[in-house]
This record gives sequence, structure tokens and C-alpha cells, in this order.
Amino acid sequence: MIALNDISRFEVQSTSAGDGYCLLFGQAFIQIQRHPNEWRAEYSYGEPARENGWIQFGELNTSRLIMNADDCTLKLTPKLANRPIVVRPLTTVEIPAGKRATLYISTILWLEIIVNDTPLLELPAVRLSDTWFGPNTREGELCYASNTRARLNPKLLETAPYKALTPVEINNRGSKKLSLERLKVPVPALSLLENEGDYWTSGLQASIETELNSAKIKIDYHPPASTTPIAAPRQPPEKGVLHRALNLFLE
Amino acid sequence: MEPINELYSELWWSNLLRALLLIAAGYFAAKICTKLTQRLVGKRLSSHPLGVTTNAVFWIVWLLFLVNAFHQMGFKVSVLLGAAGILSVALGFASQTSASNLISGLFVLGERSFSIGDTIQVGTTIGEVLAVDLLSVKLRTFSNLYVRIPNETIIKSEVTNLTKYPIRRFDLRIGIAYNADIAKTREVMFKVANDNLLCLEEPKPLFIVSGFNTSSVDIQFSVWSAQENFLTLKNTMQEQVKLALDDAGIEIPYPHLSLYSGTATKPFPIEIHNIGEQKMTIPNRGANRERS
Repeated sequence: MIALNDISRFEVQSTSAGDGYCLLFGQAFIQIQRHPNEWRAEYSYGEPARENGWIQFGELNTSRLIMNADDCTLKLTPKLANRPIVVRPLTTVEIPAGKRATLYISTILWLEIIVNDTPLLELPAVRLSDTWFGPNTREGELCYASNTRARLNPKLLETAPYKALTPVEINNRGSKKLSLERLKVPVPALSLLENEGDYWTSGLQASIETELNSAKIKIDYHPPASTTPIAAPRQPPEKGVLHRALNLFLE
Repeated sequence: MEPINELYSELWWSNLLRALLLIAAGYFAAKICTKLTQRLVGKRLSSHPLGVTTNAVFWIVWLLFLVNAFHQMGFKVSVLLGAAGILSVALGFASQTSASNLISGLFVLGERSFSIGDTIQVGTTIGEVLAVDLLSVKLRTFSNLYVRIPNETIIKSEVTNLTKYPIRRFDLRIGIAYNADIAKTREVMFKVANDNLLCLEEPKPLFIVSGFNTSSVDIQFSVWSAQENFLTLKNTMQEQVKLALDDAGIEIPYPHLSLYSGTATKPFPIEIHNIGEQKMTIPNRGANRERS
């Protein structure tokens, strides 16, 4: 059984065919086994644990990777989601005119299983529902949907080894009160960092001048010195991509 | 015979050489013009309109050189063009359908209602667009049939592009019994949509009581999915809604017919006959009986 706390540093040299490893990552149950000329990963998703501690899982899915007989290094890497995540605060957050607030949003991590530098499988800790983020049904982006408590203090957030925290600083420079109902976190453009056992992402800074659709967003590329980089952004932000993200950041 | 003899005079060989050089130079000039066109408009046009444009440029340029070559060989271009004009009128009459398709093809290309790879519906035919040519559009249906639709038909009829936008709505139409609780049905269906990961959270699902039918209260439940997940969502939603309604004890009724004998008359007597032997009579128990 692989311990979750060591997941970002997990690397093992398998000695012989038949070696097996298993992991409970969020709601995902994963077991990896080395066969004579292949590596096989089986995974399934379950409901949250019941009172008696038992977890019921669904049907097992199998992923096979044909490798050489001497390919024996197994590595795990946590990653951020492959699509932006739209988070909806459980209660609407309002920011008065001229005020600034930093919200801490936690998002689900993905896990990449690598055998000798070849990816075997990549899967999320919790399967998230799809959602659409855009001004209408013709323009926009397909994202994952999630809920957030949008805490102002990161210590109040429930930390889990399969979640990453994103600090979002919102500066309401307009003359009206800002009501925050949905927020798109462009996680594929963020880096994943580790600080004292917790996962963090690069910070986001949003500045709203007059209207929500003119919000300017900035990614903080200078993480604190105490953090260790775990994974680079999946999509390095290009000029156009970031601009599109700005207009659609808040709704 | 005299003009022909003149044609074969000493100038003939030099004119022929010039004409051949013009044809060859024209060919290379047309190729260069095609390349230049590709560079100039290549980024603005998709592959198919670009192909049509470059072909047009190539033939126009080369045709100019060809006409010049004929002129060099002593042919009177005006006569040739006149003959070509008459010929084109004759051809035009003879090939009205092809010309109509050709012109329609230009409009189809210009309109950009769909492109290669899209799934469209024309009349009752649904298929993936394989090619948009000047005369016709070629489709591959989901049963793997190759369908050629003339461009004229495309221009004249209603064409639905099923894959134009990245998300799509599925309208689930279902009837529930008159004695079923509509509020509970709404709750059950929203829960099914919420639990289905392919069902988009935004735009929100829509629950509409669409009418009162002869045997059921008709409901439309509209959910959204990503274009590529549409078929999976359609299948899973219908199955899950049926199971959830069954679990909640909400009946999906089949057509009912109520027969009333009226208050002044006695109820209908019912007799059931088995083939051949037995005969069973059901006594009357009430004024009204329901038969389905």
C-alpha cells in the first residue's frame, strides 16, 4: 500500500514480475502490478466511506502498458486537472467596492502513473461533473464543476493529500459591490507546488475595474521560496489564451 | 488551300516554338501564382476553399498563356473566343443541372455552414461530411453508407449541422401517470442529472410540464452535454430516468381507455373465452371498468 503523504516522491524499483502496489487516492482505488512484459493498472471509483469503514467500489477498469522485461521503475506524480475547474461558492461571496479579498479554493488533483518515463495512466482523485463556462452556448469552454467554501483563511480548509489550494486575490476597484457566484480557476495554466506536505498552486490575482467581463487576471509566477515545485503547468499560458481567460474569469 | 500553305510557311516552326515556350512558361507561371495564392490566403481559408481557389488561379493564368500561344500559332483569338462563347451557350443549355450544382457549390463553400468532419442532416439523411466538392457533398452515414448529395439539393433544402457548437441539448420526453406527484418527479429527475457526470451543470437542466395527454402528463426534461458525449448521455439518461422513476414508484403509463356504461345502465358484463374449451365469467363489481 502506497502512503499518500509520499506520493509526489514515490519511486520504486520493482525486483520481479508479480510485484504489486495499491493506493487509495481520493475516491479512486488503484492497483498496479508488474507482469513479465507489461505493467497493468486497475482502477475503480467508490463512494465516500460508510460508517462501518467499508467503501463500495464500482467496476474495475484496466489499463495495460507493454514494456520490456527489465523496465522496473514505477513513479507517481500528482498533477493539476487537465481542464479549468469552475467552482461555485456554497454561499455567494460579496466584495464591496474598493475592497480586496484573498479566497482560498481547493481543487482536485490528478495522478500520473509512470513506468520508466512512459506514462501508464492518468486519472483524477474524484470524478468531477462537466460544465460549460462562457457568455452563451456558442462561445465558451468545457470545464469541470466543483463546489467551494471559498475560505478567507487557508487553515480553515480541509486539507487532503489529493487536493491543491489556489489563493485567488480579488481586487474590486469598481464603484459597485461585486457578487461572486462562479469562478473559473484555469488550473492547466498553473504550477503545482508543495509546502510542508500540502499542495498549492500558483496564485491568481484578479482586478476588476468597472465590469466583471473586463476583469484582468494575473498568474503569480514567483512562488514563495519555501515551496517545492512538483509539476509544471500543463498548458503554458499563451497571449491569446490568457486574454480569453480574463474575460470569462468571473460571471 | 492557300491559307494552309501559308500556315506551313517558314514562320511556322518559329511560331510553334514560341507557342510551346508560352505554354511551358504559362504552366510554371500558373504554378508560381498558385503557390503565392496559397501563401497569401492559406491561413485565412480552410483546406477545401483553398483548394478551389488555387485551382481557379492555376487555370485562369494558364488559360491566358494558352490563348496567347494559339495567337502565336496564327489562330484568330477573337474567332476562337466567339466559337467558345457559342459552345459555352450550347454546353450551358445541355448541362443546366451541372451548372446549377456548380454555382450552388460555390455558395455552399462560401456560406461555410459546415465543413469536412462535421455531422449534418439533410432531409432524412444524417452523416459525417467527407468532402465538399463543386458538384456535390459526400456523406458517410452512421450505417457506413456513402451518400452523394447534389449541391443544388443542399442549397434548396434545410441543412442541420449537428456538430457546429461544442455543447448540445438532449430533450428527454416522458409521460407520467395522472396520479403521480409532479414535484417528486422533478426532484427525481434533477437528481439523476446531478449524478450523471456527463450532464453539464451549466447550462442548468430544464424541467417543463409540456402538456396533458390522453393517458399521461407529458414532461420534457432537457439536459446538456459536450458534443462528443451526446450519444452516451442520451443512452444513460433514458436508462437512469426509467430506473429512478421505477424506484420512486412513479408510473410511466401506457395508453389507457376508460369505458363508462353510464349511471342509468348496469355495468358491462365481462366474459373471457379460452380457445376451445373453457369459458369464464367475471361478475360485475363496479359501475366503471378500466380496460387497456
